[in-house]
Amino acid sequence: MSSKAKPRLSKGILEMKFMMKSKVKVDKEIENDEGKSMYHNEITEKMGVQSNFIMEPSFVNIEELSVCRYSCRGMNPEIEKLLQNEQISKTDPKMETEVSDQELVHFYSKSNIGQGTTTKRKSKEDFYHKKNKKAKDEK
Amino acid sequence: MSSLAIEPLLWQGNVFFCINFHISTNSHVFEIPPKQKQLFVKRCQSTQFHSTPTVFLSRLRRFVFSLVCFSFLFQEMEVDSMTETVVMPGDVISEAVELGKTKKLVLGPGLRRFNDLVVASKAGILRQKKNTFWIDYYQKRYTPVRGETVVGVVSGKSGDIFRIDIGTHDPANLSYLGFEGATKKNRPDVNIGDIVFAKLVVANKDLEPELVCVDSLGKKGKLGILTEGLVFSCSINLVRKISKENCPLISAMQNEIPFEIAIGMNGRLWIKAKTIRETIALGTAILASEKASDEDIKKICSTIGNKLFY
Repeated sequence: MSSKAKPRLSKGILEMKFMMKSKVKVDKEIENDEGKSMYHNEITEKMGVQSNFIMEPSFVNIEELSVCRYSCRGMNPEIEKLLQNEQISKTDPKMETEVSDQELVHFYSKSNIGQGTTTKRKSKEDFYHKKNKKAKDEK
Repeated sequence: MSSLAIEPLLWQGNVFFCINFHISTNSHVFEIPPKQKQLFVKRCQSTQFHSTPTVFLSRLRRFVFSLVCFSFLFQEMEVDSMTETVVMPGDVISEAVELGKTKKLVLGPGLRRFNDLVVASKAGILRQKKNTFWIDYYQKRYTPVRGETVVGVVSGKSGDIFRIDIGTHDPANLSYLGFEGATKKNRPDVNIGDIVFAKLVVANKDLEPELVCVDSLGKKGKLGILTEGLVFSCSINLVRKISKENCPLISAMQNEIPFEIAIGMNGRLWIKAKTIRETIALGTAILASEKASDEDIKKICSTIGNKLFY
């Protein structure tokens, strides 16, 4: 081990609840390092050569077999809740926002940040003016 | 059992197999597709194939073996010989070798690397998706793969370890600490004969497979002990078929009866419904859908549903 090793997070921090994800990552790194140091005698140069072939012995990843457990119509509420959460995270990975991206872009492009030409009051008036107009148009 | 009809002919002093061989099983006679036929003939004709009597005999044996594999494949899987390529153990996958020179390739099950070549180790249909090659083959015996989920039966308890039968060559080990919330003092209540749904963490040809019932964060998620229900085994192909997301079986069956299912990649399924009648109906529907098309699966499910409630 060289003295210039990468800075690592302390054990105390990794034990904390919100650090679970980084803990998994760090554990994996440590395991890899251990493996390398343990077998460095047996690893020949040829083994280190990057091959273009990656072996994948499982059908699960190749054929995308995602269903392993399923429950429906209240047979097992626990599993159903898990499946529902999975579905939600799959279909809507972004967080819900009150202001859409488009609105944000519109607002900032209008408000001339840095120029200071519009006052808060003016922009507010602008906003309501537009809203009223829209409502009228709809009528 | 399938039988093989090969007509040997004398041809320029060497043995030559007649081109018109066919494979017959107890119910069907399979014609070998023309492309494959040519390949066979080429192999037979090559001087390498019968250089000396011993070499010739061993080649012949391998040849017959591959034919048997082939007939088995035709019996169990539908092969469209016009669009799909059938490969046999020992065949070099030249497309993969060519592509592998320039691109990174993923080699799936049924393929092996042999020096710089990619060689098939199973008889089946060669499949390709982007940079991934694999062989779609028929198999009932499970070979463990790390990370797959399996359904197993507790077959023994010895000290800290449960022995789980998952249908592999060796029973798998499951530590008592591999359950959610288990500690040295608080042991999980697992008995011989229980069904567990577990994940493989060690799958090595030299070691016994090892299982856990928790994920990396110590949560049980979808794993754990399965109570009640019915376990039955089927081919690995059927398991693969029904665990695909776009398989209509589960969604079609869902309209008929409420049920729960655990699909083990080892070819074992655990199902549970409200009554024994419904459970058996579900099992029948699953087994019947092995060789059925998507449309037929929907039909099977609705007929079974109709029969249940009349």
